[in-house]
Amino acid sequence: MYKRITALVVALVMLSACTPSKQYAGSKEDGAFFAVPNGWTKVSQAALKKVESKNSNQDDLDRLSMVTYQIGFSKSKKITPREVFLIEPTDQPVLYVRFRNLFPEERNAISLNTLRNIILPVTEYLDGTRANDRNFQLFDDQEIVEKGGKGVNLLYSFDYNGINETVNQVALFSNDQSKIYLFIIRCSTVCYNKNIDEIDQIVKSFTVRGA
Amino acid sequence: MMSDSTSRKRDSERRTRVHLSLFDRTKFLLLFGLTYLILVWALLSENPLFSFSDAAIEVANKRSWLFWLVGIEVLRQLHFLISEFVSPYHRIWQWYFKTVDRALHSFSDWTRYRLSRVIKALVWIAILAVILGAIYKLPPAQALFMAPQALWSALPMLAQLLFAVVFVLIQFVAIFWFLSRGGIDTYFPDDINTRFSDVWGQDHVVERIRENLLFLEDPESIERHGGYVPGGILLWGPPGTGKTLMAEAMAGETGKPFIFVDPGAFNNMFFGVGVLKVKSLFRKLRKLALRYGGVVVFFDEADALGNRGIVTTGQRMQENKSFDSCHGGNYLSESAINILTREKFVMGGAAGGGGGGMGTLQALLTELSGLKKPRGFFNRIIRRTLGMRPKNPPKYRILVVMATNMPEALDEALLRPGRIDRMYRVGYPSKTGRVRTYQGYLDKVSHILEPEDVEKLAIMTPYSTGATIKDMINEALIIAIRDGRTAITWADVLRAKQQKELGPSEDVEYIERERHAIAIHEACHAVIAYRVRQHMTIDLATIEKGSDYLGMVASIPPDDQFTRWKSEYQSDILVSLASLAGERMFFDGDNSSGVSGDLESATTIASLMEGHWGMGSTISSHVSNRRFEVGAPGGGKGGKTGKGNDQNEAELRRALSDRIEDNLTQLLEKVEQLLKQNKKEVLALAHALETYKTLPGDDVAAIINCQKGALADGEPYSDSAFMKQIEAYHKACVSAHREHRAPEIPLPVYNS
Repeated sequence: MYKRITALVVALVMLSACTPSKQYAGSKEDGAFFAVPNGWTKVSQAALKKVESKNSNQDDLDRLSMVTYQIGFSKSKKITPREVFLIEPTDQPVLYVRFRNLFPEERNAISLNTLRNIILPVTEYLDGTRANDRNFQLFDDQEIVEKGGKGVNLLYSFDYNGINETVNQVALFSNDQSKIYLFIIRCSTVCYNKNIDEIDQIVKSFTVRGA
Repeated sequence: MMSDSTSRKRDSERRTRVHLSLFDRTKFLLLFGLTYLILVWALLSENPLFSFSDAAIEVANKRSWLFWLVGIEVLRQLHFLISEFVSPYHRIWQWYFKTVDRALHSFSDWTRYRLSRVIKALVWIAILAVILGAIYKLPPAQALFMAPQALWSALPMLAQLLFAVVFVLIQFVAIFWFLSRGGIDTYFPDDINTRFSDVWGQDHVVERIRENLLFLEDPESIERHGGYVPGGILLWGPPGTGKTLMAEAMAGETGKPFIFVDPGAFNNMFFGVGVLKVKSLFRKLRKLALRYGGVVVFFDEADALGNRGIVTTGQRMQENKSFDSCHGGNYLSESAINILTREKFVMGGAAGGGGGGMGTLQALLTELSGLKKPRGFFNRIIRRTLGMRPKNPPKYRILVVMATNMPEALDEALLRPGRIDRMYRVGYPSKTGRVRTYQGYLDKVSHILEPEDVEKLAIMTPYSTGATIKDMINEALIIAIRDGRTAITWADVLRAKQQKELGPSEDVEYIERERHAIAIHEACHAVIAYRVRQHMTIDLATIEKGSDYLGMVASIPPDDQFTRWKSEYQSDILVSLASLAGERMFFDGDNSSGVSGDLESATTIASLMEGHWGMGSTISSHVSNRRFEVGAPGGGKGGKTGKGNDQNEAELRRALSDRIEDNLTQLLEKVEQLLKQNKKEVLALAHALETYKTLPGDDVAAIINCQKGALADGEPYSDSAFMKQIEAYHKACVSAHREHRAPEIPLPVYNS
């Protein structure tokens, strides 16, 4: 009996020296979670906020005050907070996650197309109202329904400074349309194809249960 | 004898530590393990992405404090384990603890107590800091400074809570405040017009009460000589003797406020209301006593305060109770009635309880003579804060007066000096008092009674009280008015007296043979009473049926007497037994069930004479014998028979009841002799009773002595021819009685 108890204690103590198989992230308050592989570099909320609040006008600051959670991850060790916000193609995947409460006027206006057009005017490219001067290509556009909300998952590519970049964009609004969940993973198309399995795992892990 | 090896060793005698049980060794580790599992479960339920293993690792990484605790516990258990097996290690620690103990005990107990308080406070502050740190996500030391801010922000919530608490409390306060009102009336001087001159027949008590009031008015007269003003008076006595009237007169006479406490004031539904009432009453009394220099508080029917179940052991204060018996126990002396009543009703019924209950009496006792403690918030708190000694309370001059007709129901502690200093018996008024009372009430009505009539009336009503006198005069007035007159006559008074004492007659017409039997029965009582009993005179004799008697011979003492003698009790028994002896003699050995009450009275008195009063053949008291369980008293016929032969020895051992029976038999024989000698008088009196139904005492004597009385004429009974007719009538009645038919001869009527 003593041996078993000793083994249990030793096992418990050893547990504290282990690390989990993935990095788990997300927000309990917002009810959204995801996991990234170990080894990815995390860019903290504080660091992102610092960059975002610099040189921002009042509208940006107001919007920033509505952000309840944001975080960045990259497979690159040298990722900077600024790079997380930029749209320039990178040679390592970069993940940006942001949960934000919506203003009342935004709540009334929100639609799935709004979610599609968060980064690029996707719908305009598709219906031809905007000239496709960036070699925009949409590979996938799925409507998704989660327990905590609904939205779209887009996979598209476009040229930026002569380099083709692929973006996997997941955007949802909460069931009561009070909150928006944004989950974007991107890098150059070459990089994307190279890390496609890893990226698919990360996107698949994104779960919205709702606040 | 128990050997040392079987004794459990003392801790100081052991070389190693006592082995712990498996549970004691692992309980904390199990607790930590359980806590860990709960945390993992919580994480799994919080984030659905986690696998169990990842959640277990995550908790292990994030809640490292749990592993620190596990480590400490493991170390502790290792320490115990080594102490259990390695004696030098154990000794080192024992020595260490002793040293620490010694060091700690170098401080005084008081210092250690204060230090422990400081350490406890610091521990709690540390715990608070850690909790606040966790809440504000700040280092504990920094978070501690957030506490005042947190408190400030929580103030509205606290205020709400406080309001809710106050709201709930205030309902109770209001209920209790309302419940503790009432039952207490305050009168100020000149509110009441009754004076001591209105209290008649209780001059001796009134004098004493006047004295108490004088002390209250001028306390210096006794206090400057080192005495103190008596604080409590108990007025006790039978109902209707003027106790409440005296209190009313006190209220009228005194120059101090007078508080009247209702008997039901302390009866209440909720626990604590009685206590509150007592406290508020005495707060009021103290206030009035300070303002007016004294106050009188009167508790009417103080027995309502109850007792705590202790039977009073002091002076016996049981009063005379009325005693009705079939065929009239009223021929007995008052003290004999008193004894019979006590035996019947009081012996078993002196238990405690009742009253306000629930701490009310205790509160009253404390208020009456409690701690002389400093009172008031300013006095006790502010003065002490400023380093001043609280002032002792001033002398509150409160005169407590209680009135009761059941003093034995009062708590013993209530009656001790200091609470109730003086106990006055407000008894039946003396003859002078009765005369004064009669005059007082007669002055208010129209009457034609002479002063000597009033005197006679006072003699005839020895145990009357102010209330009964008032009632009797009123009854006489009603009788007079019913007869179309406005002035009360002597006859009205006599009829009123008879009606009040005996109750209204039931107007039952006996059949002749039964009427004669009852007349013989009562005549036997009356003749024997007239012949043998000198300490009582016959008040009246009647064969009119009342509510609880068939006939009656009532007697009254001619004068106030406070001791009773063997001869008197013997004569009481003779009068009691006269009915049995008479019925047997006049009805050829037959007797009725109507003698049961008489026999009970005779047996009770005979028992007390034999066992209590030393009036029998033994000396020892039956009460003591029973208390000490030493058996029936021995002694047989006292010193008259010596020990030695078997017969006398057996006689010595005779049971108490045998001796009582013997005594009664002797007295029965005696009364039979007396009745034989007075056969003619009994028949004459029976005839007079059958003729007149009711005879006053004087007329009874007139019949026996063959003289002319006020109502009945006894002279015809000296006529031998008439007496022969009466005897013939008696014989006819006896035959009728035997054959259950009407007598052949009607009741003789004297024709001169």
